Amino acid sequence: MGYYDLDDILADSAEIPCKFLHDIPGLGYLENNPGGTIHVNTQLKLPLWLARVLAIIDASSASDDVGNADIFNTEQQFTPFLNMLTPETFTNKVINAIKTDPISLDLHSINPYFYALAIKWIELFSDKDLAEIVSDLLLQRSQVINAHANSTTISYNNNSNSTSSTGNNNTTNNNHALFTLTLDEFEKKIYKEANDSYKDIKKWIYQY
Amino acid sequence: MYGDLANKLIIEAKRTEQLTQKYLDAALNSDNGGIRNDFNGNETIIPMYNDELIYNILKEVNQLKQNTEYLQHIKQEEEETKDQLKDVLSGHSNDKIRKCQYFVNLLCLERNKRCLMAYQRMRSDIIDKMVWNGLIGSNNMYNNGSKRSGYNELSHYEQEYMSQYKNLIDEMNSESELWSSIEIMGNMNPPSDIFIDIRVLKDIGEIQTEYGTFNFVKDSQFYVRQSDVERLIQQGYVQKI
Amino acid sequence: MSLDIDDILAELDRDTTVVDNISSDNFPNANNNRHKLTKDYSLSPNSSLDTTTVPQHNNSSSGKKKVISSIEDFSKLMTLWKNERCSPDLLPYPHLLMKRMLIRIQEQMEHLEILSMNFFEAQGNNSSDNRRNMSNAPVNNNKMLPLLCMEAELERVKFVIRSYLRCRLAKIDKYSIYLRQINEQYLNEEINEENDDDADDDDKENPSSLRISPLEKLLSPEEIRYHQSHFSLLLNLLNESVLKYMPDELQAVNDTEASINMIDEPDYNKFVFIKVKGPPNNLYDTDPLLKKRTHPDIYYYSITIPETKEDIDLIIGSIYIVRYSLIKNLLLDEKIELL
Repeated sequence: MGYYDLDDILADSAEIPCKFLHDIPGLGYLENNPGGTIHVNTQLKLPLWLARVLAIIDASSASDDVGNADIFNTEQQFTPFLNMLTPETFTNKVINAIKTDPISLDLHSINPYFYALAIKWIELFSDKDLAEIVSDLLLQRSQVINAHANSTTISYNNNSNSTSSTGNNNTTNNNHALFTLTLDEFEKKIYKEANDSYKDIKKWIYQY
Repeated sequence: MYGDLANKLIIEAKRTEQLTQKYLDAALNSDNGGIRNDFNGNETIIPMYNDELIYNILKEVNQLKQNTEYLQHIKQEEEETKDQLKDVLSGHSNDKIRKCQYFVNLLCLERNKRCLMAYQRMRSDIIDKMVWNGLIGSNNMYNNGSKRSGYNELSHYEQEYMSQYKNLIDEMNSESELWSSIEIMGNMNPPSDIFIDIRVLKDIGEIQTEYGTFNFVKDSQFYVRQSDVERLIQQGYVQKI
Repeated sequence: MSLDIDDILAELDRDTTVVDNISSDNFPNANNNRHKLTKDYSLSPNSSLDTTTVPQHNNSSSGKKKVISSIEDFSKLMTLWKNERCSPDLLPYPHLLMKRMLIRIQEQMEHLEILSMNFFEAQGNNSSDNRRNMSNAPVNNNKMLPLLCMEAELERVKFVIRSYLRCRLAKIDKYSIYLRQINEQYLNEEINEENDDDADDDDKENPSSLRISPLEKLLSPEEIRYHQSHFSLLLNLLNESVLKYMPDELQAVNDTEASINMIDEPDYNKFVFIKVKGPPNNLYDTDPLLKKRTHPDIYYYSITIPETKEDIDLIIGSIYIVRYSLIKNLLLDEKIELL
């Protein structure tokens, strides 16, 4: 994914609802209550880059002094600082919508970084079901994307610097533009690359 | 909330990346081999270095650093006054709290660092591309006006970086036989036609080629060998028709 | 030291370059031109890069020396170019090949200059000013045609090498920290080995001064210099604008302990299209990895996908799409090429 990858950074900023498992004073500013305490079982929306680490680290192995006998901790289980709950992006409502009609689904409005987020989520929770659903979704949508990318036409002038579709039909252009609005960022990349390569092929075929 | 400013910065960076990508795509797809010819001098490829936002983010970083120091200070105090046997439980929960606070602080710092680094890296990539495309340089037509394309939009360190990088490339170009024989800064499109029609955009004067001497007056057209005029196309003095 | 040896080897290669004697029966005008224009140089329109300045060498006298024709070199260059553009990783630099190509290009440029100077001396008396050259008598075209072809071919070769080098430079820029990490690991290993006082006899035979660092194998000396200078410039920029404001533990640019690894590694899991060529020089018998099915006679390589524990047979002459990590070794052995 890359440390410097802008898409990765933006995907990490997605907000996930979290449930705190401990009382933590001093972190009140996370819920717009500066100086206050966050109590147990508070639900809060935190960005992924923050929630991920806090959900992974074990809060119980806090003591650095090995000398202390842990008589109270003999049966301590792994307890992180908070639990991540399913975000809106992956609720059952969305999953049902995906299953019913993957193609005309407006993925951009659900989350502009749907696929990136899905990959991160699947990695964290080893969620095989979600993985299957999302890969099926991508498979179906990419066929439609391919069809859209292929159907643009170019003018016969070799020197045209067209970077968008230059179809003679205005409604075709509008269709394409509207369609791209429903794509998430990853799909937009795929669409652009497919479109560019189809244009290149046509340019090469018609160059003489 | 910590990290929000950094987020704004990255959104702006993403927009810049998309714009630059469009610009470079257009440049590459044109037949000029990497430079856009309808550049009217008012557009700049790289937006202003966002001094204000960066300054605010760095202020936030400073705040976080102070938080860290405060936390360390408290931890030291607690360790000194800790009663080992009696306060085991509260000691644990205190440790937990300190740990959580420490991590939240650290994560915010890391996030800010990552956003700033990504922003700077993206801009330096654009600067690199500008240097390779010949948009900087003394004999480039677009620099004859008062506005050098994008130079004024850079921060001080970026300007230094740009001139140092250009020097590096120039040095290596002159020292390496391989690089200069193949004209490593030349056209990145495959050579298509041997002879091409060109139109002269600016008065250059007389050019001597193997096929004779041409008088390159503004708005005249010639049918010349591509490899001869490639340098001129790149610098923007002539345009391929 | 090693660079001088490379130079000498390259000189040897050049001296034993084969001249492809293509019959110029199809180009009667060219033949006439040859006799008129050229004095010491041979002109063969089809494979114009086959000039040699030492015409008395031929295959029989060079005996068992390996002769690398420029056609072979060129096709090797094209394969390398395609591979480099398609692979996510930086492939090893072909030191000797590049030296040979450079020498050939320079010779060809000189050759063309001399040819065209001769040509224009001949034409100089009746040259016009701004008239289109093509509107002159067609006879001029026929005489110029071989010259044009040679020039066009030279431009093409220059373009391929240019594209190849720029592609490599772009990858070097992208993975500069990763390359530095490889180098540092290698240097640390060396230091550890030197510190072992009970060195074996083996180590004494290979003193560290003769061992080639992985970076030297991967990159040309110019690329190494470019990498180091560019990286220090970039590091300077990042330090001044971002890193010096960070707390001490976050000031590194190669920090792997934080939540995200700062070093960008090449994506070895990227899918690539491959075509299976088979062992280089058709040495079917001596390739240990090559397997054979007897009924019918099919040669193939076998690779295993670790995730699904599948075995795949890569049959020679077929095209597959696989993850880069699985075929990297075969690619470096030149048994497959990327598309």
